[in-house]
Amino acid sequence: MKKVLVADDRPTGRELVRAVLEKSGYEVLEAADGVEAVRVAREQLPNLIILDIHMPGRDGFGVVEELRKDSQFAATPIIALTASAMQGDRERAMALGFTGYITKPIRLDALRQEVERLLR
Amino acid sequence: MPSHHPGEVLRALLEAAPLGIIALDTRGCVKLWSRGAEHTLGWTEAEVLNRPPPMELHLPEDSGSEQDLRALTRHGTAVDIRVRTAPWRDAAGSIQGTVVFLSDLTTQHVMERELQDVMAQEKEARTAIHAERRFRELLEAAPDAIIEVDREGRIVLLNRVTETLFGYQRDELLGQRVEFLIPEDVRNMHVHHRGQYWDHPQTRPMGSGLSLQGRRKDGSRFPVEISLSPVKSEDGFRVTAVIRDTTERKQAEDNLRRIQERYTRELSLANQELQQRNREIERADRLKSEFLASMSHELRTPLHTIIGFSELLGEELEGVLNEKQKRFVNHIHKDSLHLLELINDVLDLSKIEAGRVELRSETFDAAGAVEEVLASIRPQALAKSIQIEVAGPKILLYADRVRLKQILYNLLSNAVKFTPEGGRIGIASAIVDGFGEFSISDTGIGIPKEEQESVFDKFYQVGATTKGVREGTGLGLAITRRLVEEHGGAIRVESEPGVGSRFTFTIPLDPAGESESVA
Repeated sequence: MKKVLVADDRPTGRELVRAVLEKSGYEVLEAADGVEAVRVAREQLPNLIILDIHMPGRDGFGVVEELRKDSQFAATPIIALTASAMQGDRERAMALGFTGYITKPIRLDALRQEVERLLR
Repeated sequence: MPSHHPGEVLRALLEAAPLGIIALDTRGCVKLWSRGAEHTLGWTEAEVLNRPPPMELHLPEDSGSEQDLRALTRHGTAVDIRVRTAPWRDAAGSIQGTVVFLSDLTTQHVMERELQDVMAQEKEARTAIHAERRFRELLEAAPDAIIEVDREGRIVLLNRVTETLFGYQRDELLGQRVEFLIPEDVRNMHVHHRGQYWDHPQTRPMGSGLSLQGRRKDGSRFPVEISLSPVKSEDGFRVTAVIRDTTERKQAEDNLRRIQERYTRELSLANQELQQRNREIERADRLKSEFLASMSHELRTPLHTIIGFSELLGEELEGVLNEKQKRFVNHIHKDSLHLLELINDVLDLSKIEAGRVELRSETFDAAGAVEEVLASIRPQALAKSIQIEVAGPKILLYADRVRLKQILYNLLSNAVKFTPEGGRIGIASAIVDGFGEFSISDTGIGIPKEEQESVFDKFYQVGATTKGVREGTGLGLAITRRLVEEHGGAIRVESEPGVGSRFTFTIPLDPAGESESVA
């Protein structure tokens, strides 16, 4: 079973992603902030990581930078999931090493399709 | 008293007369040859007496008439003479011969010239007198004090203004040193400067850069401006000084300077305030956009889960819902989507109003953009069996393609929203006055005349007067108008309740312009 790590400081946000992806047949791991996200990623080596950008401590940008330095995560798809509508955020995210960019609120099918595409 | 023989008197007369007088007898022999004739023609009376005249003499036929002729003198030179004849009669009245009067025209010419010279001199003298009078008039008409000073600095001439300006009578000033008219403390310096003037005597303002002062009879001082000119007269070199009282001008200048200084000070203060205010506005602007970004983020975050979970529930993957539950979940989902739309619109409008929308203009064919918008509009139209007709030429626009699509989407989704089942929507495009013009018409409920002006206002909703349709944010048309205007275009509406509406807007053409104007 493929493992997906979802990092979001809001439990409801994590649970939504968990509910959608578990139904699609993935094992979902959770992290409540950036630091935990890096730790869980190193322990569990998920096949795909979904990161909220705005998190206390280390934000999504910081996490992706950290993980991309680690050769274990060189090819791991990492999706940004953010409520930010600021211009330039998407460009910055892609430049820092994100593989995909989805804005909140999500359309469930869009999330399903993106995850499926990246894990195919 | 001694008596004179008439002959002696006559003789004396003949000798003295400036005219040449010759008397010829009937045979043409000279009987009299006056000293004047001798003077003009050279021969003495003794040489010609009782002989025909030694030179040719064409006498005029009629006595009394004059004739100018040229005769040879004894010295062989030619002389121009004027001849006049008269009959010579004796006491009984019988003709004895002819008397010839001749005048030397050369002499006369000389005299005429002399006369002309005299007249010219007289005229010159008169002109000089006239000039002198004009000069006096000018001198007195001048608004400035004018004085003339000789080499020793004594005043030799002055006009009336000088008297009134300095408060002296003419007699008190004539012959005085010019230093008399300046304050005591600078008199010595003036004597020194006056001496130096003769090294470079030329017309120039005096003491340029210094503030000069005059001194009145009562000892008071006043600011003056003086210009000096050297004058050469028969009495030697002199200096004319034109003295202008600058009291009023100085006051005006001082006033002006004070006003300018105050104005500059106030302007600088106002500038500082303006800069301060600008900084405050910039700060407020930054805070506002930070607030907008953060508010948008904070609102979307819970909406994300509301929309997500309601959609999830509606999918019934976690369990089958009964009809009522399904309807309720659907309500939550729809209204949360509406809330999202509202948040997006508010944010968008705020950005537009803050001037934060940067148009990313490019050249593109309008038809492509229309098709893309129709792709998302058609399903909605199909659901209400609304027909959509598109007509128009190929139009190359220079605009922000995404924003144009937003404009078209707003107008078309409104058209679908307000058009009843089975209606029609038309999209017509044309090129008008350098703009691409797009008309979105529908057979919808229309807009009452009195509301047509306010449809572009924020939060205006036709819902106020129409039943059932009330699902927009009330911001769509406000945003649409702002976007059209950002492009430099304009938007207008024509509508008739119950018949339909037509929204027409313009967008700039591609300046390179290869658009066809044929439909």
